[in-house]
Amino acid sequence: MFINAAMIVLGKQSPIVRLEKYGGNNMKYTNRILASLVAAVFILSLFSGVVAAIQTPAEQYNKDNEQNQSQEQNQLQEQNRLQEQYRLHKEKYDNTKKKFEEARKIFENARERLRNANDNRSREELKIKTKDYLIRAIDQTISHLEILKYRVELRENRGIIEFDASGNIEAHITQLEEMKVKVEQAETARDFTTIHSELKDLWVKIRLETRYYVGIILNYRSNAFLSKVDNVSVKMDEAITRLENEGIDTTKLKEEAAKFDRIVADAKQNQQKTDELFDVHDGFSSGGTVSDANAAREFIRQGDGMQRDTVKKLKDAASQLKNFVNEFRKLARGLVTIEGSSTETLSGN
Amino acid sequence: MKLVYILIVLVVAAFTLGCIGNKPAEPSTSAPIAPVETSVSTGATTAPVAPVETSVPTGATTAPASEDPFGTDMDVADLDSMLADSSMDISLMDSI
Repeated sequence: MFINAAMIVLGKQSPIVRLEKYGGNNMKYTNRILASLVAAVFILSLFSGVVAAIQTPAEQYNKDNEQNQSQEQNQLQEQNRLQEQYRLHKEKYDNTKKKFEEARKIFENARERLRNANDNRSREELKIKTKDYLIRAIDQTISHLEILKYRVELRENRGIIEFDASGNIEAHITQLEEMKVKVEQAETARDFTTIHSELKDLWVKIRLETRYYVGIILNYRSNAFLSKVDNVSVKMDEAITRLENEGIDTTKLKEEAAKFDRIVADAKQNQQKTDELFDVHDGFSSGGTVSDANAAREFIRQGDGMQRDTVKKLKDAASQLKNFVNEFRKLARGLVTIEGSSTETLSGN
Repeated sequence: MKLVYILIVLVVAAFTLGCIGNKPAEPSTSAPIAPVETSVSTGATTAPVAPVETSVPTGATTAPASEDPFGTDMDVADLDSMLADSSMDISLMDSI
């Protein structure tokens, strides 16, 4: 059939055509049969794409698996990118901190020399060293703000803080940049003293505000963690039941689970109090800026203590969960697996 | 005879359509659905899987899945790192 078509394309007479010319009735039958066959192939071929497109469950599983792997790879790449960005911010902070501490020592030495010598040369030297000390202090404050701005602006943290925390931080960075210009222009001891005093006041404000912002994110994350461990707790109970159904003694496993539950209950209680404290946010305006420094300081002091306590309890819970998983694996020895979602799986192997 | 050639052309066209129908499906933009059912299996050898999260800007090392089956270590490391960042201080002098 294809030879025939090809011969026509090439302008030659095909063997079939030759047969038709010289054949007679037999040739007509042959043509009819051939036409029927081609028609049948045509009809079948219409379904070929549909049939080929239908995937078997195994193919579907493989495809889903590939998609999952690719998604996990993308998430891993994103995680690495974020870690790299954070590392760069942190590195910058560490450098500025080191330079500030060096500048502070040099400034103290220069001040000591002026006290001893009290001459123009020492005075001039102190002026240079004071400028350096102030500039380095401002640089360190800016890099501190940059780290916290990065935290606040992270995709998963967006929307947690109701006001424009990032804008507030940016405003402080601008203030600090302006302060740097003032330092460059400063000439007298009074100029330097004024700038230093301004910087100290600003730092107090920055410290309170950024701690407040981080506190809000910490509360959100701690609550998310506590919701997550609620699901874990359900899985733990299921694990115990499955083992019991297999006739395995679960006394120790139950003790581990009970310890875990107690720690989580403590953490929840603590977190609830912290949430209540942050709902009032004493000393801070609804825009997240300090409105009363003393009240804000007291609120942050209390909040900091409570959050540290919660984080410690959550660490203990994570550690206790490991104890449970280890005990479960020892008992199950691969005989039992209890699977939940892809993120929460206990297996006995 | 013409009918035969017309049919040949149609067959070729149909095969082409078949190829179109068989092209690989576009990757779906929706997240794959994880199995949610709880099942008990005997002698299973699958390793527990830790969740992959993008929420860790901590630089903390990620524990292997078998050591952190619920991803809780990673979460705690993140909380710890946030606390550490908020505690950063600057040792300004009392006066100059």
